[in-house]
Amino acid sequence: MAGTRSRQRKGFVGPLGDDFPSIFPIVAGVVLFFATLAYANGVIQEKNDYLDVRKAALGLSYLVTRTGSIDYGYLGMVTCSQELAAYAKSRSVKYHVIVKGACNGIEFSETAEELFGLEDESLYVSCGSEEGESVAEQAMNSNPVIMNFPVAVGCPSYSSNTNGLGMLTVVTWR
Amino acid sequence: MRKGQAAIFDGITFLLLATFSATLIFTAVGTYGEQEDEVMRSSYVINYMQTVSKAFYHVDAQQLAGVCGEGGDKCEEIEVYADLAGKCVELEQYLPGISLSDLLKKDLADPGSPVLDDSYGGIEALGKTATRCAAKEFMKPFTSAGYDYVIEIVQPSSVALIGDAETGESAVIKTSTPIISNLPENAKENDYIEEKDGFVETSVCFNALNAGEKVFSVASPFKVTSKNSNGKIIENQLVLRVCMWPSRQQISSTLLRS
Repeated sequence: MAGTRSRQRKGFVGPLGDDFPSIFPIVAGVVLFFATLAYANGVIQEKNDYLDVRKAALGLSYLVTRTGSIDYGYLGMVTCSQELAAYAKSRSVKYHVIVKGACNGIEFSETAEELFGLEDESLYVSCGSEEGESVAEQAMNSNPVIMNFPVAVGCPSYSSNTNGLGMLTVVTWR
Repeated sequence: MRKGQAAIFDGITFLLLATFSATLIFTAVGTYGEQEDEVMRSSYVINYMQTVSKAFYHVDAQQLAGVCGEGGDKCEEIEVYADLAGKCVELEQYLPGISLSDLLKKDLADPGSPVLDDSYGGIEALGKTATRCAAKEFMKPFTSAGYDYVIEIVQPSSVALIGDAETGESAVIKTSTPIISNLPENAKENDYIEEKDGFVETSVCFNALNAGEKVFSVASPFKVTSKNSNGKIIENQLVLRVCMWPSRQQISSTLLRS
């Protein structure tokens, strides 16, 4: 009788010991599933943020480009400080608008300093939610959305009565 | 099956299910927001093209004389703009206050049927050249990014702005070559530009669309006042259409530099 019982229990290491190996795949599965969820949440959040900033950039650019030409005074006094500021605040974004003359043809900016037109002769008007010299650095470090638009600006100089080629840049970041 | 074996089988099955779920989540996350992003990119392109149309009304023709000139691009090195090298400078003759759209309307005000050919009833009116000079610069960001563009004037009375297949009436205003576009000469092989005796009468925009290109298009009213053969003033309600699409042609290095 005793011999029969020992044959039945061969390989049996107790109720807990028998189930123990199955714990590893179960734990691995749970960890994998929740890690994936956490990763997906992070990616979706990041993409939503990017899309939000892009949407805001489009909205800001609609406001600035509605006429096709730039009235510097109006841009500085009304559009930038009131309309754009209110819109940007409602979308929780920061922005900077740059207008440059390109009377002999449009040239691309290769660096952030060039883009923001610091110490650039072609810079006509620049305004935004942030002030100071570090604005270019701040924007460039925040994965900005940059949109360019052609506009008519005073040519051959800022104060000319005749209009020539110009480029408007809207930089938006959060 | 023994109890221990059953338990490990359950564990492995659970792991497989978790792996499958994780794969599904990764796939969904990978494509999340792509369509919305594409819609917003299209919105940007369309807003850009609308701004180009608006700017045509404000830019003085005289101020385009600097395009391809000193301090600008060396147009003679760029195949599609080579002929502009000595032409944009001719715009210097126009008085301040004459906008690009004024000149383009003058070009289209020919007695009888309008023709976009840099002349108004035999008198020089460089509307097409001025538009080509401006478009060369305004479209530069997209040209460099590998887009093709064409600007054409259309009769809105024609069916769907593409022409009437039954009567053979063309929607596009007859335009002398080179047309207002950055399409290189070899585009003729794609049948986008149907040239006949130095003129194009079919829509390049529509041809590109027919060829399967992803065409973005913006149209704005463009009223032209002209005199008919009896000397009576008539208003011609035309449409200015700007079309752009990602190019499938190889971008030349010279075009990239432009």
